[in-house]
Amino acid sequence: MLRHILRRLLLAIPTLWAVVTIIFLVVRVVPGDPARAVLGDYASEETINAYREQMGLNDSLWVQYKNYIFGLLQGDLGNSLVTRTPAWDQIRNVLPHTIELSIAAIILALAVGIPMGVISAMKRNTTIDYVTRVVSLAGLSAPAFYIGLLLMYIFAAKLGWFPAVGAGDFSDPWDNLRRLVLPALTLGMVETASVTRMTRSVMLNVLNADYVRTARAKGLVESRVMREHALRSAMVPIISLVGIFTIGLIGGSVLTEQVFGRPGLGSRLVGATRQFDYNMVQAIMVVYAFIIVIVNIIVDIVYTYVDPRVRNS
Amino acid sequence: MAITRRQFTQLIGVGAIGAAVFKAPAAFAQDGGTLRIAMNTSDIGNLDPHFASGSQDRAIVDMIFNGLVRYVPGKSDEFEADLAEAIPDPVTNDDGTQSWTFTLKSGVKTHATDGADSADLTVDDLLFSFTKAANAETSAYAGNYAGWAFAAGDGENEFVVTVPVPISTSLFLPNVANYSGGYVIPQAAFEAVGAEAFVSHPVGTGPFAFVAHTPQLSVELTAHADFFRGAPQLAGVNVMFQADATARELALQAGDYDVIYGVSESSWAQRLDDLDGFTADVFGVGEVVWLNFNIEHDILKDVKVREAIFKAISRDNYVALSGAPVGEKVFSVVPAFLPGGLSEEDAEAAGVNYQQDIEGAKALLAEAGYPDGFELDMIASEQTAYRTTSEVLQEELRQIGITVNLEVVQHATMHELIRQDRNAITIYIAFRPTADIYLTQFFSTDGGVTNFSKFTVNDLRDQARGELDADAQAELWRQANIEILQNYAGYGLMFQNQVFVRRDEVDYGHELTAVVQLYPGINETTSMG
Repeated sequence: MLRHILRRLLLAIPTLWAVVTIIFLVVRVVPGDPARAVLGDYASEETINAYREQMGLNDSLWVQYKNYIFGLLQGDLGNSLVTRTPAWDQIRNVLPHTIELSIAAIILALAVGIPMGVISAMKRNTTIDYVTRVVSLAGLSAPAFYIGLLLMYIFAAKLGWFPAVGAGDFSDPWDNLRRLVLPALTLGMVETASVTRMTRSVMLNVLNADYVRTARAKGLVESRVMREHALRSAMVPIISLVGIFTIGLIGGSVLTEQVFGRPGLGSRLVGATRQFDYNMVQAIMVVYAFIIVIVNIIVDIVYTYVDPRVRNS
Repeated sequence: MAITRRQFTQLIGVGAIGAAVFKAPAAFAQDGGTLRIAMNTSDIGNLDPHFASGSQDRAIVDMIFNGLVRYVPGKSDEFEADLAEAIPDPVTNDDGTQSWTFTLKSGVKTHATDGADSADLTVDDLLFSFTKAANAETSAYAGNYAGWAFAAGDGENEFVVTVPVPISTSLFLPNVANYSGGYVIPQAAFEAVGAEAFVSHPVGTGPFAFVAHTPQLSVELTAHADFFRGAPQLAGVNVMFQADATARELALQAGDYDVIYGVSESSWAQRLDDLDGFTADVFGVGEVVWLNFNIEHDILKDVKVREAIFKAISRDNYVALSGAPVGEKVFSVVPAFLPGGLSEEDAEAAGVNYQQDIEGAKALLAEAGYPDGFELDMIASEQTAYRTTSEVLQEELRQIGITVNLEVVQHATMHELIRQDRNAITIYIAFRPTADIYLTQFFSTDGGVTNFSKFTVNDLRDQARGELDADAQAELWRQANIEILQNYAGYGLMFQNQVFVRRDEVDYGHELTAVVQLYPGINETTSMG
């Protein structure tokens, strides 16, 4: 297992290099001057040039790339072109909020989506199944920002149960939890719909499998058939889905973050892109790539515990 | 159904947790005297006041810093002494220069920061700050101080500003006021924080001191107890970032914000104002929307073509985007609320109050050799005000046979591309505090790449600069505006007032007519009931 993880980590190096290089080039292809974006339309050309010189933007593309890669090899993600503070400091500040929101949404999705999917599969073509399918389809179809605003209107503006915006301080878990509820519900709803549909689909296949029929024929109670034979087998593709969700949520929570005024990696990336903050965009993409590698490794490890075929191979 | 003692205890427990979770908005109500204002952005840009240009940055630095003089709170056309004891009278020197000698108030305390304790502001700080503001490498506003010299005076706490040629008070004071380069940065604090960190960790002398910046969430300010005009009534101010207008509105109603940056639409402002417990304030200064016509462009160099385009335009169409009173017409590039701008009567009297005349425009185009019109490419910003203005113009020009091919790009990209002369007609939206700056930046050779029209009024601008009589100076600026219109080089469309909504308990402490810092103006007199 250790050898497998090390191999995956080594394979990640060329992936990271390719990502870094592509992003380095892509952000510079879009017409626009970071100096103008940072200094505003009032700044004179002299001021703009002075800034470009200070930040190394007048260097050739090759020199900029070389400096960036050398910095990266020493663990330096560079400084934001806007705030001029280390990019990592900003990422470090927002990353916990993104991870917190993603985990909350995944827990919600699994806690609600798996039982709903299982029940829907067990009660195939009954009213429960139809309702579950329609609700999950609606969850998939509704844009996250719309769900967010709707929840905010009902539970914050009208009922006053939860704060409408902001992210809590981690030193105050209670406040943090209250501020997490609506964004997590928003993000979790969409993911719940996906998990429900995926679970139902997988369970329908599994329920028709020979080993499930055999288990029933042996006289096992239905709950045990479900728990130990059907669901366990169905978990393998669901784990894959969760891995993909995790990666997607970390990057795809932008709209939820923006509606609820929460800091986060996704919205920081959007902000940096709009401000032509090349260094910040590059730094965030490196962190993204790293997260993807780590999540994939975790999914691999979980696989080995859930699927005996992988464990024994 | 019987209930066991264990079940009863569990029910009580669940009930208690439920009550705590769902209890009451009181848990989210504003904490004491800290005012929470939500701005229309996702984060800060640059909080060094000599670089700050975004509206959120201008608002924050205004609460942290002071100028030698200040705009009277809530007004954009009156000044009063701030860090200075009084506004001095200028003296013309033997060498033709002009000097203004300020006396710095004693006992003005700087905010404390790591590495620099709170201390009295000194003339050395003024020297440092203005020297920085006048240096293009350390200030975006250096151009406003070209040729200016700064020195300590002979008397105690005296600070002398010398300008190369005598200028009027109206041109001088904005540059030493609480705006852009006029904000005073204490030297020791700046050096302790460092130039790079100062961008997100400003230290000044104002009613509120910087505490923390939480990226994408807020900037926290606390009351400066030793503020020289007296301790602020608020305990602090949290400037919060929420780019989504609907979310801002809902959060205001939920009690998460006390003041929000609004939407530039009269109907929206009226709807919020009608809500119980909230007041929508519509106030100046407005950002002017105007068109620059490149008189050297292959097609537009023909004055008949430009005149035809003028005849295709109706200001009503642009004002309708916001609706009155948020949107108001302007009749020259410099708005009438600044000295030198043309009122409707001025424009009418000068024969430059052009009206929409589609048939006349078509006839002019035919005379110019374009009976079937022509095509123009135009770069437009994604920002709502720019995009909608472009779309209205596109439709107006379509009516006279001109096809405008819009390319909508990111805002910063637009600024880059229009400076490369990519547009024959350039839409610009901006506020500048004096007519001189509008004319210099956009209609003089000094404007460089922002002289989009290539039309210049250098002579009139220079004459106005040398004119010390305010009325005569304003008249020269008006003449410059008339010349721009007569040559079909620039067309003022409208200005958009600012819209902010507050809880009724919020009292800014001053009347709200116009604020150049682009927010309602929060200072030591602001309170919450």
